Amino acid sequence: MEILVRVLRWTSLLGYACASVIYLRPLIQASGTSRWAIRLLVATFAVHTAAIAAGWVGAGWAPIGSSVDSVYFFAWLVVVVLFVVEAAAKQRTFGAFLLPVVLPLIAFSLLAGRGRALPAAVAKSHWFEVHALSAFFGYSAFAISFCAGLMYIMLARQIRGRQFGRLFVRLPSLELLDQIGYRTVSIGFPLFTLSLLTGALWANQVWGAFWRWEPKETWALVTWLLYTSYLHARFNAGWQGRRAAMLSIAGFSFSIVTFVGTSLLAKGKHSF
Amino acid sequence: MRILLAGVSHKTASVEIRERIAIPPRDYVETVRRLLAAPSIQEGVVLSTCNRSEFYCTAADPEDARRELLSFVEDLGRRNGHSLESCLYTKEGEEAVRHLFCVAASLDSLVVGEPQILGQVKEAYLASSEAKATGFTLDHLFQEALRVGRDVRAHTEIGAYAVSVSSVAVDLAKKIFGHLDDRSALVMGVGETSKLTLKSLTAHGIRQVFVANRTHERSVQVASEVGGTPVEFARILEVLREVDVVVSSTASPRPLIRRDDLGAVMQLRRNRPIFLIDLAVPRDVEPECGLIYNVFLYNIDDLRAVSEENLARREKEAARASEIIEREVERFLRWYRSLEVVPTIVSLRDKIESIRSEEFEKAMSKLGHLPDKDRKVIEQFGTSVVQKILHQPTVRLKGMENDERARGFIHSLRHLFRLDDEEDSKT
Repeated sequence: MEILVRVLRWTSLLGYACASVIYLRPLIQASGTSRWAIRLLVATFAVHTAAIAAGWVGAGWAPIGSSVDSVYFFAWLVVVVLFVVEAAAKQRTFGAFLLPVVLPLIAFSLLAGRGRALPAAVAKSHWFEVHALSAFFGYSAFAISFCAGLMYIMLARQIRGRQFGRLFVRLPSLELLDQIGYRTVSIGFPLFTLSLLTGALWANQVWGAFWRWEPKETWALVTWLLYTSYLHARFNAGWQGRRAAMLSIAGFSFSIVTFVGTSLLAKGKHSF
Repeated sequence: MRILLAGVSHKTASVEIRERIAIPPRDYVETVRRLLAAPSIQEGVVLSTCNRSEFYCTAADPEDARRELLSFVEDLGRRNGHSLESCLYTKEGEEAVRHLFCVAASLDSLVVGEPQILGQVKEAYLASSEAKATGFTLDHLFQEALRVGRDVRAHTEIGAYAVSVSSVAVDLAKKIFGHLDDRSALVMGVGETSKLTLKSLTAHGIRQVFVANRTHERSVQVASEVGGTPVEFARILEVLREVDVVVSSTASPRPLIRRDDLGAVMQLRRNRPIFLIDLAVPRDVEPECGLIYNVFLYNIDDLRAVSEENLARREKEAARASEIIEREVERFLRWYRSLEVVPTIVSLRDKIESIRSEEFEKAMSKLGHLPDKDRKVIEQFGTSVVQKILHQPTVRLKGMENDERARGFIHSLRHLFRLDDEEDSKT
């Protein structure tokens, strides 16, 4: 079973790599969006789902049972959110920006070994489930807002620079990108806040302290403050457009450090 | 090949001539019926837009048909009081196919890449098809042309870049605001370009238009012309707080919108994006305004530069479109040739003959004890059955050799007997 899971995971990596190329092509060459892009993506997503299911049911790897598995699961969630956004915005360009984010996540989960499993006693708490899931959903919303921000800045550069390239033709309007960036943060932020709160409650149960200033906790707090300032700036200072886009790019960069980076670099108790 | 076309287009005739011969879509059916009344013409399609009037047909005898087609078009011209001799072109066979594919792909358009032509070709084809004027060949030809047109649009960027000042402005507005449906615009001063720009903007959804001029009477007059609301010149800054797009083309010697004023306005707008189109020379908007956050400022030179650059892009894309068209013409010709009478008869006979000899060999391998004489009888038997069966279809097909309608039968025949090898059956 373990071999099957490995094979499925590698297949999903290959699938996403090919899908990224097909998604990126219309932005680089004069070619239409291929129907194969979405077909390949859906097929790869099915493999991805199968890999998680096989790991869970067959090999007893809970999707969020270890740092490495949870990164793989997070990549899956990001693709789910990608499907939702592409359907809602009737746009096929988000994949071109999001898949290159998914790809290294999956590569990381494949190359980082088995990762550390959660001590059973720790994982049992319901706070943990809520904590982890809300964090994942929050991060995936942030991932979309990151892409929207990136697309906004690239498109705005072309409009201001009077250089209309392929991006100008392919990307959706600034208004739509700004709105998507804003809405995804509006959804991601409460989820992320919830994960901080439940995380604190859970930590209190397990370690007897709400907050211990571990690297992960600190980075999470910084990330949270960044998104708080994003919403504040939008509400009170009219920071729509480029500045908001830059904040959401910064926000997601911090999210990645919080989520993956601290597991790699620091040796805190939390480590995932 | 017996596909013919005759017509006039913007490449051969002035607008005076084109408008005289132009046929409104509601007259398509009647015109194509008159065209079909000519004795040699078997199928017909009439295509007429403001840039071209073309008549496509298939015929049994291309020489007669060409004469009939020309006199038909000349008649149309004369009826409208003009000789077409100098501007009428005719094309036949491969040339005609290529021409139609180019037309559908918008390569033959006045503005290369303009999107309306594909719909106009479709409309023309549907009208003729409803009038039962199209048959096997023109049906396939026009369906292929429509597909080629769509393919070229999908696989090249021929129509992706706007090429007139007003369409560049609309493209920009749409890239900034998305849908223009609930957006509003302010027009300051009115010239030809600004009217055109305003027209494109309202065509793309902008509802509310404010009009400001030096004199209020002029504002009122222009406002009623374009369906907008007149505002006094002194209230411009107030209006700027509300609108999304500004089109400016006054004769004012000094800028009307200054950086400081607009900065204050943007504060009040809470940085809601604004798109300023400054068509005036000297400029109406201080260039520094473009530096303000969420202000998108374009002047007439910017728009012209973009449209010229885009035109060059289209021409580059047109070369790629031609490659697609060459491939498709080749493919169409392969299909067309496969439906000739003589080769079909030959391949039908070959096919049946090979079945006969195969079955004969099989039977003989079991009847090895028979003397040669008896074998001959059996072979004779098989051959004459085949001959008898093939006799009638061969005679009938030969009788239709110059008839375009034969292609329908041939198509069925090739399909039923699987006369095409793998590659051909795909096409």
